[in-house]
Amino acid sequence: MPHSRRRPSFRLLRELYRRPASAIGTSLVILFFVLALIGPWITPYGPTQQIASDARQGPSWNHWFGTDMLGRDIFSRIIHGSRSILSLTGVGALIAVFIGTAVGLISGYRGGWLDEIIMRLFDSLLAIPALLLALVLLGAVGQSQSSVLIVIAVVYVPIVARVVRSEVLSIKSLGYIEAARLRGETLPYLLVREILPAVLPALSVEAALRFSYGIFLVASLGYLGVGVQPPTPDWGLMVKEARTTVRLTPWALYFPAGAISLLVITVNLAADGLKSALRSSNRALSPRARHRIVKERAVRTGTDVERSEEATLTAHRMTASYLVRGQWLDALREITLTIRPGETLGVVGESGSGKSTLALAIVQYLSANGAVRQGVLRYRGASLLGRSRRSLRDLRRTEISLIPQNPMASLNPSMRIGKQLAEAVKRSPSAGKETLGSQIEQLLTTVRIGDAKRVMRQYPHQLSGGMQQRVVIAMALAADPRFLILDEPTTGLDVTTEAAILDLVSDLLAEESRSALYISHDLGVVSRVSDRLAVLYAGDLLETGPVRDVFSTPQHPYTADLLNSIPHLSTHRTSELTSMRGSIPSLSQLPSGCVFAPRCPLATDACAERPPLESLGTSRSVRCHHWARVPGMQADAFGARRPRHAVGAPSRDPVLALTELRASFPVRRSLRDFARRVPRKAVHAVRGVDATVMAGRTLGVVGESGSGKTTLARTVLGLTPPSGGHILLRDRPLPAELHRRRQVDLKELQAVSQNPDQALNPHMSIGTALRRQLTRLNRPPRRELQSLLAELLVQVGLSSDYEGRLPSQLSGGEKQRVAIARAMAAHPDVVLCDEATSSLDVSVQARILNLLNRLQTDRQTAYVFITHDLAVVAHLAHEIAVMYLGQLMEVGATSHVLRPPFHPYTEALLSAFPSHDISDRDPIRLSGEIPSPVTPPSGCPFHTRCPRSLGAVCATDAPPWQTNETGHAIYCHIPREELNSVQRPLVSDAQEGRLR
Amino acid sequence: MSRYVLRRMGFLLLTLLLTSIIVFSITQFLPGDVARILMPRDASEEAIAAKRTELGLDRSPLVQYGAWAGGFLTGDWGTSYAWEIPVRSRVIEALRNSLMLAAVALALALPVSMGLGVWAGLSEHRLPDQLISLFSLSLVGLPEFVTGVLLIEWLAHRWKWFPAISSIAPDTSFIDALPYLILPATTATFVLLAYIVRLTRAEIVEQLHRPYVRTAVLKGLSWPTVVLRHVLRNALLPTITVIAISIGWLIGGIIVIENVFNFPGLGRLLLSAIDNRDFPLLQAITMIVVVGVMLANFAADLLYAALDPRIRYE
Repeated sequence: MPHSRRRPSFRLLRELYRRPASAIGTSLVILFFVLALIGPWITPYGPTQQIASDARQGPSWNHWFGTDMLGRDIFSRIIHGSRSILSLTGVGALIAVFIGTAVGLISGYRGGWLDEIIMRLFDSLLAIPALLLALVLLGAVGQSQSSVLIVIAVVYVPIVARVVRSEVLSIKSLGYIEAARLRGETLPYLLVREILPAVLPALSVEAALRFSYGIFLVASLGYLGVGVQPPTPDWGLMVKEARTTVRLTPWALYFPAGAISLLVITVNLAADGLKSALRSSNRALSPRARHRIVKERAVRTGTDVERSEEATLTAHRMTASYLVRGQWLDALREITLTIRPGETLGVVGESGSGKSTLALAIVQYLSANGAVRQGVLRYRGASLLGRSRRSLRDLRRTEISLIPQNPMASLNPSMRIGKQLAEAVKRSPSAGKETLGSQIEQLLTTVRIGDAKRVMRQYPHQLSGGMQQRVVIAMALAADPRFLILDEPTTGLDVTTEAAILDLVSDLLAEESRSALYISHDLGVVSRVSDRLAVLYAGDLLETGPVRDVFSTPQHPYTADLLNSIPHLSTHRTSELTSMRGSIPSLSQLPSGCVFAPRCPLATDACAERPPLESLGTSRSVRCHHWARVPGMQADAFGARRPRHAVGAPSRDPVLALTELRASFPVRRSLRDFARRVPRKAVHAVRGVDATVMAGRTLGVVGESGSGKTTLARTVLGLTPPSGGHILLRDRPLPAELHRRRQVDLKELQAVSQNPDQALNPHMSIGTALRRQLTRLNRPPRRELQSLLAELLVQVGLSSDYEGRLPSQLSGGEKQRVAIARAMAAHPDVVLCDEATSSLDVSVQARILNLLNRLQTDRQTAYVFITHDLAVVAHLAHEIAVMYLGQLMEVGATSHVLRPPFHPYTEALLSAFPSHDISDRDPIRLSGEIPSPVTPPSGCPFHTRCPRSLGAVCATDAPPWQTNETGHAIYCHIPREELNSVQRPLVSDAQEGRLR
Repeated sequence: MSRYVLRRMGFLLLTLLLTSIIVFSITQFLPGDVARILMPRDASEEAIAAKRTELGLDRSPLVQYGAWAGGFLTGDWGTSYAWEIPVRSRVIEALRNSLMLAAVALALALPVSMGLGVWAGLSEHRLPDQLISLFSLSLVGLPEFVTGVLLIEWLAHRWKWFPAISSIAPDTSFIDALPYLILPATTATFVLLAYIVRLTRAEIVEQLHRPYVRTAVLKGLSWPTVVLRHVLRNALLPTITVIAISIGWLIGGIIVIENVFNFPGLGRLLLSAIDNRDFPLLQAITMIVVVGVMLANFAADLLYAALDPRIRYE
């Protein structure tokens, strides 16, 4: 069903007719237009034809809507009037849309002074209320049909232009637009082929709205007597004329008035319908659906599972589903699990596994179209389902707390932290304000916020992400709950921040009386805090067991594959990752038997039948027919970790060299600073980076957010202007601005961006997009184009029938393959990958990493791989550069960077890295936040947070680059030898041996 | 905060300057030779030239604009072509009446429409929401002149609840004028109602789906507490801007309504200025309205900034 290949226009029409309101609106608008078109042939009388004998007649068979004082037929006048009002507003709105779109596109895309001038001008025009502007214009140019037309256009151009402009602003930095710029597309092509299609939905809604306001405006002008002049049949004018004789001919007033209202309402209905049809997301829940959910809840099956009083949480064959388009989709199927007092259960799963649904089901906060439809869900022996509001509230207040991801959104933006915490604190009625205050302070201290008093007075937006998450944790702890649910609480945080939060969380969970459910997609994170593990996949619980056992001897093929598909810090370049074929099924297309069967290496015919959840001993269970074969498979899998093709002799041939590269963005000065001539401040994102990329090799750039790694990539690509330094591409100096680069330069330097959903133009088929890339950069003869395209698809592992597909019909991993194919199309020397796998699930990431490796071997392409993920870099890169606050801290061959001596920052990063195979004994944690790039620290940029700081010298003097004979360089005052002696290796030799 | 206010003020002045240039250009240069339009058709060329000099139309456009803008700032808004009296006194008098009308309309519309909007949003997709949506949708389709004409016909002429005409003498106090204001203000309310209801509802619905509401519910707060303490404040904050925007809308409506009710305000004066091609009067009215709209927007920006901590603590 999602792979519908219907033409978009038909789909739109179908969506419009889905809801009765928009169906009625659309039909009536069409009817109005048809009547106006055929009007002269169906009306019995002329619009100005006066039949004196018939004057002042009420509605009758001869005169459907009656006649007016002069004996003119009102029905005929209304139909003729609809011609004038529809054509005036229609054409006027069209002109406005045309001009407004053109202006909005150019203004939004070009930006700068042109945009500034146009927008100021439009702001000024918009300061005049529409009707007033229309009247003033008509007063100046005189009153006629054509001036009404001009007036509508003038009044609406600024509005349309603003809508288009804001759409352009929101998409102009998307991956596919930048990819088009990187292949040197011209401005008209960019605007018309790449940007306009994305603007069309918003534009068509706006056009419909303008049309409805236009009808209002024209009718009002007619009523005021400044629009169309009598005796032309104009609806507004008809109301005005009939008003004085309303006692004699009321129908002459009511019919034209009704016509105006009906037309405006129908156009509005159609516009509303258009808006929601274009949004075309999950349909809002209709009242009927709600009713059905209530019924479903009533018939919930009560299974006679033994009431284990001692367990904190039990789920038995629990199924939770969402009603989407009248169909129940099971997000969780027959989940059975138990959490004992004091125990932490880790739940791992990739996207779509149903792990968040599990959390929300327990706290009974599923969205309106969701419900637990079957099974048992108990908290300390009492069912969580079908509870009264009151008992649910008591439970949430005192027993169960949820710590969600995205702390910023989870806090009320307009309430002080202290007040938000106060709401959660369990309070005895007698406690005064002071005890409450000290209670909150105590809470904030528990989550290791030092400056509790100040934080209490602050608003969420004033805190950093890590601090916000601490506050959210404090809030969850406020009532001292017995049971905690943590739903990806560290996702989105930097590694060093994540490490600190994880330390806090594992201390909290270590408390005897507290049980917890810890949900994450990251095996490394889960392993740090959990006692037992549950593996979720596409809504099925595939395996449970103690953490150590699951990691050492996985019993489900999925778990085994998942473990082998994760790059480790120690797997550097020795082997390929295990990659599962296919992708995670969507809920609407689940396989009927075992959900993992289509991707499983052990699958047989038996797997067409759903396997039961089997208990293996006391503490483990698995849902697989072939679990007994899994240990063997794992050995196979490990053995089958093919050593990678040897990459010839290490190349010493630089393809890309950066010298002293700098990039900064000016910060707007305030009026006062401007007056006082305070010099302009700037964000110094990249501050003098030297780096060399060798042909056919990978340079990994690691850094946390704010390190300037993305700006570095954009500067090299020409998307952000540098403020200093040079770029050499194959010994040729590369012009800084993209538009000055020649075709050969563009051809050699391509990019893969982070977000696969934004990497491809949603309105262009895969074939068209790749063909365009080939023609722009390679200029192959026309007849070779098709074979080149076919070859390209094969190389990224896609079959030829992908050529005709649209991006919406591809999974995330497939989209990223196409993005790689596009970057590789012209055989570039260097490809910059900015977080190219960060938004993918691990099982998908493994395949992309393998693909990138294979392409590199085949084509000798050099990569600059920018990421925050140390393991990915360790796996992929020949050389690593560690970046902090716009500067490099350490550069060298991967094996050297991952061994002492480290730069203290590298050491902290590695120590923070959550990994299930490395247990850090004495972790290094950074204090404070990354300083502002507007005023970077003097001396060594890291000195403000460095645990090994030497004191004054680090704060005043820039450190030296200490380089050894292999080229491994550390930017630090502490001598290499000293660092080497105090730092411990990351992975013991034994561990390395195990993983080979 | 003070930085924010200063920046807003800078924008305000710049926009005002640009708008005044636009308004002046439209009314001064677009109509063609104003002297010829004003003189009888058989007037001699000399007479027309003399008229041109008299009105100062023979000066360069920049000088004309400078003189006009300077006069506007110092209180000399020119002389009406039609009545040959100073424009200012007429405009001020009409402005006073229009402001009274607008104030009553806002006082009627805001509480009702925001209340309905909140109610609809809180009961998303349920019966009250559907009824309110239907109600506001049917109001969307009713132009002011239709509502006005119907209200006069039924409430004034047939049932005689309100006076049918709005003859307000120049010095009538607000209280004395009130009976005359009710019907036109009700008409204006209808226009605003649909618009504000829809926006308030949308804002409530949007806020209800934010994660912070989940946080509040999962704290164990009761639903009324969640709505009152968390949802309402965040949802009603943006409606401040909505109200400011709707003032421009209200003014458009008032122009029509004043003509329907023959109400002695700016709207009626404006139409007579257009009929008489009385450009100095037209310019003065337009600028007064523009200044009013901009001040309303400015006030809304300030109020928003004062209430939203994200701007307050910038």
